[in-house]
Amino acid sequence: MIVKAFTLNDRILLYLSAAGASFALYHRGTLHEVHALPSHEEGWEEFNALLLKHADKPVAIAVDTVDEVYRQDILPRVHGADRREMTDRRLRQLIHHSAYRAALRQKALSDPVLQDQLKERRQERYLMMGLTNAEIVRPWLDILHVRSAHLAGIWLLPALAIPLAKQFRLGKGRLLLVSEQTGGLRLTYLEEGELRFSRLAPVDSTQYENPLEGYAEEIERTRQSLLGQRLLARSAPLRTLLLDPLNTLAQLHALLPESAGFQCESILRGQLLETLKLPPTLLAESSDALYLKLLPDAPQSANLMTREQHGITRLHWMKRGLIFISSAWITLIMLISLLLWLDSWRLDHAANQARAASQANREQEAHLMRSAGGASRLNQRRQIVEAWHSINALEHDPAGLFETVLNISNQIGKLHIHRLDGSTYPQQNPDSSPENQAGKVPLIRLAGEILPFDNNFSAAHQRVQTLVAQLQTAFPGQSVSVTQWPLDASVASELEGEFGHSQVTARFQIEIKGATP
Amino acid sequence: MKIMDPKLHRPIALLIASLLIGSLVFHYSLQARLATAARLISEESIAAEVARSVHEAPARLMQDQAESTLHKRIRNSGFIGAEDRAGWITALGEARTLLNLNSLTWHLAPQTSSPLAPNLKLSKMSFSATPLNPASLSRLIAHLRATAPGRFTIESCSLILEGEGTSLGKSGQATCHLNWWTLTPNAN
Repeated sequence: MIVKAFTLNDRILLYLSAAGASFALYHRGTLHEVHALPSHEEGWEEFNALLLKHADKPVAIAVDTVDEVYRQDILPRVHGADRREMTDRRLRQLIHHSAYRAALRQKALSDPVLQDQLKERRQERYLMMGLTNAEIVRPWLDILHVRSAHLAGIWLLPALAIPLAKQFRLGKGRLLLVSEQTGGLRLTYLEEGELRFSRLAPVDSTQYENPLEGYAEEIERTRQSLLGQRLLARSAPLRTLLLDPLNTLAQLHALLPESAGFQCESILRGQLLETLKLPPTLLAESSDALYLKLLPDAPQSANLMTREQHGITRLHWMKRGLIFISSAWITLIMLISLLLWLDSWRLDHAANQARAASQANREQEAHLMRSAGGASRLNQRRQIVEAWHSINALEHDPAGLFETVLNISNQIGKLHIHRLDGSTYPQQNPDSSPENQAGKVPLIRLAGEILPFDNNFSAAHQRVQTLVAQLQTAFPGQSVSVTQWPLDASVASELEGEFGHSQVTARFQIEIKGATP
Repeated sequence: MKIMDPKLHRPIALLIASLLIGSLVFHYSLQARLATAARLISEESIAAEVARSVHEAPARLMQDQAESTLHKRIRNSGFIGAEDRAGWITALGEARTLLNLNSLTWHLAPQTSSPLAPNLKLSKMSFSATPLNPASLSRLIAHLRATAPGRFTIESCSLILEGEGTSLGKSGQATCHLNWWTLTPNAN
């Protein structure tokens, strides 16, 4: 079922005419097994067997019959569902006696004036076509129903003239396509590659010594009809194309002279085989092979199927479409997953190689480190030593610094130190406070006074300056500053004091700081 | 035609099932691929580290030999292992007796982790002693270094000197803040 969903275009092609039927199998754009079917019950049985053999393949039917009707109509230009609704309504009015009918939209017109008029009025031309007597297809449709086979479509034979004109590049101008059928002479009139009308003229060959004379008479009658309908100007020659798969119509050229208003051409067997890529054996099997080959390309809007048949076909294609999407999705996912798993396997292999390399290196390292008690013991010792060294940077002995400061102050004399504060060097202190990081915490702070003081501030200041100078010498690289002088001699300060009643003191403070980087 | 014709039930169910199964399979495959890629990155990183370690092994061995004396000293200093608070306080008490101090008060804070090195622990201690001058303070600290089991650094010291005469001969109250360091190496 899933595999069949991929063969979307495969179908059984059935050609029906009053004289008989033939079928072909269409697979991947190629015709296979073209066979004529016997008449009546025998043919139906054979068709039934064919459906049993090729179950689930849709069937497309081409009908060549005189029971056909063609009507030109002009309708407003609408789109989508509105167009479908409008054409259905019009078809019911025009071809009310048959359920098999279709509206073929005519896109191109040979008359530019009419084309412009229609464009201006927002109108479009349609060819309404129908099968007026469905008896020719009914037995075959019954067999399809019994076999639950589904119908791809029903086309009148002239609808196949459209793909034929395309393949032979006959899309320009007016053209009368003439073909010899089992039921008579088929005359199909096309304008700009669009079907205008067609008729199957039964020819009684017994009336003429040369049967081609009867054909010529029918062609002339058709020309007169075209002139009468003003589809063809009286002065204009009618391009007449003889479809001649059996090369039997060559003499017809002589019967359709230019002087009589014809421009006669032939499409011979060789051209048909080459252009349609038709194997000669198939055409030899049945001349219907030509039409069966064109049937898959018939325009969908010329499909005569009833509304119910369209519904069933749509349902069938939806089913196949859903199955196709499911299968395609699963296949895609499986393919991607397979690639992912292959890549995973590759990465896994590389990871195993890396692990093996690690293992080998570890063993080599263990061998080398055996004398040191193993890598972990060595790492542990290294960690201990590193921690020890990190503490070394914090070693500091303020007591020794205090002794140095006191020795210097004693040498200067009259300097009495009250208090000494010492702390770790700021840049080595584990304390990460902003104040400490900025180098503001002093290395040593000392506070003292001049004793005895004789009210000589100038001398006191000189002593302090001497102390600062000697400290600077003793602590090179440090910043020594006085934070409090015995007398604040700054010009910006206000001073007040008294001599006589109380003891005047000369206190000072000095800070030794780490040099600011 | 109805949108949900019963004849479409099975194909729709098949579609939904294929979408679900496909998504799950894809998700599982992608996860497996990502997990393998992550494992490869990890293994390659380990391999590079081990290779570097092997390459550096001779140098590390030489360094270890060079540091063996220091390591022995560190091991004997009481720096490694649990804190010996009793030993520290005992050393303080001995210093008081040795220096004939009138008083020696101390305070020891709870142990904390230090950011300086992995597994490094820190305990802050402060003590005040009197009478002390710079020389006797130096002796006190030297005594602690010599006898206390463990390692400490001095964070700060203050010395308030009292009395008349030259500063060098005076004594007073000393307050010091010490950091006691201990290292608890990894079990392996």
